[in-house]
Amino acid sequence: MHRTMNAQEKELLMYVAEDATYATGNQAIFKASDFIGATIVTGVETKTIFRFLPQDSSTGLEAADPAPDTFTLTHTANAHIEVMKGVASAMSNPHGGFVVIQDDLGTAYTTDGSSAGSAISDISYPPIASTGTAVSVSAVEITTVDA
Amino acid sequence: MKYLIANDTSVLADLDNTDELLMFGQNRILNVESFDDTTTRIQIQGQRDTDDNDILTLKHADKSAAATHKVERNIIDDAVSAINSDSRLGFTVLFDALNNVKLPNQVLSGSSVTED
Repeated sequence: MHRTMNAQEKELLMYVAEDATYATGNQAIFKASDFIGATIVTGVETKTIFRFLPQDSSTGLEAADPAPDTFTLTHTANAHIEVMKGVASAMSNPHGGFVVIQDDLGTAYTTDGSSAGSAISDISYPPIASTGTAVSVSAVEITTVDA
Repeated sequence: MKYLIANDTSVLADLDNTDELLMFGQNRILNVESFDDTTTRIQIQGQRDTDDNDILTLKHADKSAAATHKVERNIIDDAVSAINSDSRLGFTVLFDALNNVKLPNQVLSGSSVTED
């Protein structure tokens, strides 16, 4: 497996959380320097998958068929390019930092603070260039070696 | 690190499958190669299979024709410039058939994204 460190002046960390319960395996932080690439999820108009070098080296460098760690964003239909642009802009900050890609905090606001009633993200996605349709991300799924 | 995006799909509703759209870091580029008289290819480390390669096919005018014999040299310059671009946005679109974005010497028709 060709492994190349993505040069970063300082590390940029990306946080994703699948839901408001914060169960084991439902949150993860990915490093920009581990980024491999992103594509459409095969056959799906509303999902883009971001792949990263796996933290468990037994599934990565030494594996015959490496399995990356991933997060998959569910978004407005056919907005894959705009979602990629949004995440790329966040990841490219040479000063590093911490970026919330998607934090799904439930669908109903609760006064005890356990749910904000909406998803939180530090990213502002551009509208679909050819139609002007606003782009939003509604969910995230995490696949890591420990999920 | 800046990132590169390539899309060969020209109809918005058709964006839903493999071999259509890639995003990757500048350092995932493996090489730029001459393929035939009208094709130059950029090879990238594979994403779905990291010990294989993805391919961006760049179509261009016929380099065997006297009038356009420098086109391949020029498109390699275009590609290297885009790959090394220190874009303020954090990404550079190499080509995008949906939004008619392309390298200066590229022909969008026939240009493609192939995943391994």
